[in-house]
Amino acid sequence: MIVSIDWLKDFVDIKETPEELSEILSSVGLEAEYTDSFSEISNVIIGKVLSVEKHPNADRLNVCSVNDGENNYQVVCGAPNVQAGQIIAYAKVGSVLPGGFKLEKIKLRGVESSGMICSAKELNISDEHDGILVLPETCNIGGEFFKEYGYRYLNIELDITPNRPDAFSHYGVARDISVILGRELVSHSFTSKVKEFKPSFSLTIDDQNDCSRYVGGLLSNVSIKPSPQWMQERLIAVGQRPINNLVDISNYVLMEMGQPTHIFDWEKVQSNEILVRRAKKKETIKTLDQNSLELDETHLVISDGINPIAIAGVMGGLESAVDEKTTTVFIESAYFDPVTVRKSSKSLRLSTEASKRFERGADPEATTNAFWRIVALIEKYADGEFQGEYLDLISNEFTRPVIRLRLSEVTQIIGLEVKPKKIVDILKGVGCEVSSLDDSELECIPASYRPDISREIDLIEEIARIYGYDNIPADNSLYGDMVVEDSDPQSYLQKFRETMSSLGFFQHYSNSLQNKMTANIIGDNSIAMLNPLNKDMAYLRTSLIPNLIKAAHLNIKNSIKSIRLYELANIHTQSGQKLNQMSEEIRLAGIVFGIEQKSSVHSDEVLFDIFSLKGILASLLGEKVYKNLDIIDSEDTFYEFGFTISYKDDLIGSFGKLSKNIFKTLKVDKVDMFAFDICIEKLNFSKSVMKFEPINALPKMARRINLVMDQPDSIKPVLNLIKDKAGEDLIDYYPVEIFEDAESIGENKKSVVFEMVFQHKEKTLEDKDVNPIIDEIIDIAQKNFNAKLRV
Amino acid sequence: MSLKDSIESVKNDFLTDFATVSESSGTDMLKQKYLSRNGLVTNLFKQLGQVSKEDKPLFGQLLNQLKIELNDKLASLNSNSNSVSDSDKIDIFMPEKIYSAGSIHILEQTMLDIKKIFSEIGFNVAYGPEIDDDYHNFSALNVPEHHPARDMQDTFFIDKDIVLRTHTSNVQIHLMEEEDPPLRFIVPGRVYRNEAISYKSYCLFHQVEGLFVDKNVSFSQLKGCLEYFAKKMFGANRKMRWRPSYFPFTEPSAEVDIWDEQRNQWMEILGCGMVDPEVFKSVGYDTNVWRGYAFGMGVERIAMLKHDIDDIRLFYNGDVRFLRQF
Repeated sequence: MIVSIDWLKDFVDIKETPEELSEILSSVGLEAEYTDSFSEISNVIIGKVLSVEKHPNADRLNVCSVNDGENNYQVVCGAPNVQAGQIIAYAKVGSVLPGGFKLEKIKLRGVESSGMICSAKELNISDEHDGILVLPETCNIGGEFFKEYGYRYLNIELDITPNRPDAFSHYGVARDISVILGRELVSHSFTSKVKEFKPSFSLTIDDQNDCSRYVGGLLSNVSIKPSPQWMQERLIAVGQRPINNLVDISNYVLMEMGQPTHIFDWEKVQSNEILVRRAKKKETIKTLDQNSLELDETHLVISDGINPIAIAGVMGGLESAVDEKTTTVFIESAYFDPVTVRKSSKSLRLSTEASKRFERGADPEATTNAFWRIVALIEKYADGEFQGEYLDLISNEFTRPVIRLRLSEVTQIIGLEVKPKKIVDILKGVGCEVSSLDDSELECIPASYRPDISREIDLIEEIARIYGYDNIPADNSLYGDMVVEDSDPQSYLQKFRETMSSLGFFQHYSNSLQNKMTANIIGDNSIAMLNPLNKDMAYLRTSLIPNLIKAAHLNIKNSIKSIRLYELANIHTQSGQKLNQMSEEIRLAGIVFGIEQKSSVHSDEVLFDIFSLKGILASLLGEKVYKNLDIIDSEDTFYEFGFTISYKDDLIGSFGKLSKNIFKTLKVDKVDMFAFDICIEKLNFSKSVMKFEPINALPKMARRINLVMDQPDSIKPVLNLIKDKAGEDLIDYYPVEIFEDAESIGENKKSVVFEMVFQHKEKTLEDKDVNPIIDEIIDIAQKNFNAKLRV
Repeated sequence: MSLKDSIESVKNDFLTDFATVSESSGTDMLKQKYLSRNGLVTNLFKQLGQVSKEDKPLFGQLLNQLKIELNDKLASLNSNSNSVSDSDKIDIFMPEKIYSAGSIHILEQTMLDIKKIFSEIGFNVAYGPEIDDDYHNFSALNVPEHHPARDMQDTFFIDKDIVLRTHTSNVQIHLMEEEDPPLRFIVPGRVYRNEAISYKSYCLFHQVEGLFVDKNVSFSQLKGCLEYFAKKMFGANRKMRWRPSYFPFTEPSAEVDIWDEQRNQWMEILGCGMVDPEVFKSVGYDTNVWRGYAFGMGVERIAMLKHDIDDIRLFYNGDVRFLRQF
């Protein structure tokens, strides 16, 4: 439901900004969303149309003179309803309208036009764009549009939950605001000025369960015309379309008070007998929205004694609808049973503003108030005359429940002792009659507009709601004051274990005690036991790799031809004899040996090599880290040839082919074995949450260049060159083919084909976007790296 | 010197050279000396032309044997390292071999996080059926037929009385039917809504339901429990707000919002409340003794909020460009 802030102010004082008001409404359970529809409009002011003349070159255009309070401007206007003397919203040259549309001085069919006279749509007020918006005479010419007039359309959209029919109107929302802010709620009651009633019609209700109360009455001599401007403005502000004074009045009262009413054209009703009954099978009615509906016993109807003239609580019939010739009207203000209306509305798939309110539960005692409000409005704005034609039929007396409220239960459920006076204030505020039974119990009778309150727990909910959920303390006795941000600081390791498993690695757990030679295999920095078990277990390990090699050898002896093993464990080193000079660090190390892929009918045998390790590291470290690694030759004697890897200038590990020294030290046979060793703690990014990067669905463009280079030269400088020069649209680049052949490309030469893949974030790339980049790369490669483009 | 002697001599020279050469570095030198265009073995082949016709096959065979022998020896030197293991020849900037590790779906990861957080404060995990009767999904939860609350959840019907559950709350009833109080459970699972598929809604999603039943349970404790959850899930400094709301099976009911810096707005993450006495009545719990709280959260919504995912359909379409990001 949309509520107008200006309208709410009829009933309660509001000083808050729309944003603040939204927060307040949300905090009491009326979920509110405020979208500022005027913030993007600037420099629109109130103007007056001084004159209107036909455009010399265009039939449908007029040339107007508009005064902004100081100067006159010539404006070409296409709206059919523009007239001299009108007060209008004038968007000056330089003003900005919704959608960021900025106005400039232009020529329209040869006539200069400065600015624009705005329609309601152009000002974000409604979808109306058939003509310009004509403002009340009272608006101050030259004043700012929003301050003078636009504020009337400030609105808030509320999501009303099914348990709150009382909040389905401006008055209901104002009531909650008044309770929460402790401000006075303006009384809004209406009664008859006439005291004697002599109805010329009769009312009958077939089943008291379907309709417990029906109020009806006649007004004569009504005249149909547009409703007053203020009423139209308010209906537009809440998203309703003005029709005529009678329809608008009924809608206005619905939005204002929450009570649905219906106005029949009494001349079109066949008799003087109004009967509320269930429809007969196969009975039909043509409704206001021009649909012919077939009815059955599910549907409650209003009948004129013969035919149905309305589907009760859902929609009126077309045949008895008000039109421009209507003179006498019958006003219905009734209470229909929620379940009956819901079944009827569901089975017809017809949900209306009226049915929504009835099926949630209207206020059984609101019928007369709304009726007399309607009468007053029709008398004033449609010249109607009330002459005592009135009936109030109560078929089923409404009784309000009497509920006992234990104060101890309030404390128990909320978990907080709310002062009895506060409880009484809150309950009275939401419309309960409250009396004290004794110190520990209250007796409450809820208002007729709160059908949702019938039990003790319902009262407790009201107390908690108005007291404010944010004011109820959080009882953390379940876990105490301590909230540990990360209860397992090593939980991030699980992801690496999972990746290693998925890469086919077995996890190894091994003895961390070693002999001196092994423990000092890298540096002379291992920590010794004073009382070792034996000299083979006298030192703490400084690397995980020796034990992995030993484990591999055990498996090699057992004729295992392909080995992938890793260990994730602590290593210990020392820089001195003191405790604080001894350090402990988690490492992840792995080795591969032998056959990476067995020969089969599908492919030849593939052996592990250094590029297998690179592939493993790529998966293990993740794309983001791997693509930004610095790989440098390692001096480490550990490796026959090895490389260190750094990420953001931080050394995170090494990999390479194990040297024969290490096998000698371990006294095992040398084999071709590759290993990596990672300082895994440096890859703990668990504190930064992974953020999704939108998928780029635009086409990719791949380009290849074939460079003939000196055989011993690394491709790295070329890769760096590509990375530097290709710009941010480059998403991938790699060599795809290497070719050596003395005859075709020369001795000690190799031909390398590099592929570059480009993709733009917002547009489809074209040749002209990429070609200059490729040319530049080729040019520099030829100049700097002794490379030649191979054509 | 006869050709035969020459062959012997070259072979001996090679074996002498071979013994002194270490590892792979000498291979090229030996190849050059013996097997290249002007190498010693190649020169012997050139002499074959001067041999008599009848001797040719024999010497040819000898020479071929010599060549094979030398090649084998040289190859044996190289055998310790395969083709890319020579450190001088390795260009480490050549691309890696492809090892594509997979990943665990972000919804599974989120669900695991939620389970972990609640298990820290003593909740067990329970599961329940996705196909259930109207009674467990609605009526027992104080959602009578013909109540407007049924409009809050568009339902898939399998039969007049059988539905795809619209929430995991059905398991509340199953649990309480089977077990005596007190209870402390969370229930993860898939739920269904008859809603058109768009970037923000899908015909199914995942919920984690919570149910806590004990003698002295209060709204204040519910706040404590869920604030613990939210702090662990989104960080201790995230702004949070509690709004009154309506669910037929809880009273008072609340919705909890988390402030989303990215979108500059409140984002609802869960609904909760004190178990409505009607629900306890339907499972035969004494409402004068037992009280409880319950909550339900959408796993997708939490994952979307936490990881800035803007389209719910991404979870289900199996696009590897999405899956590999987590």
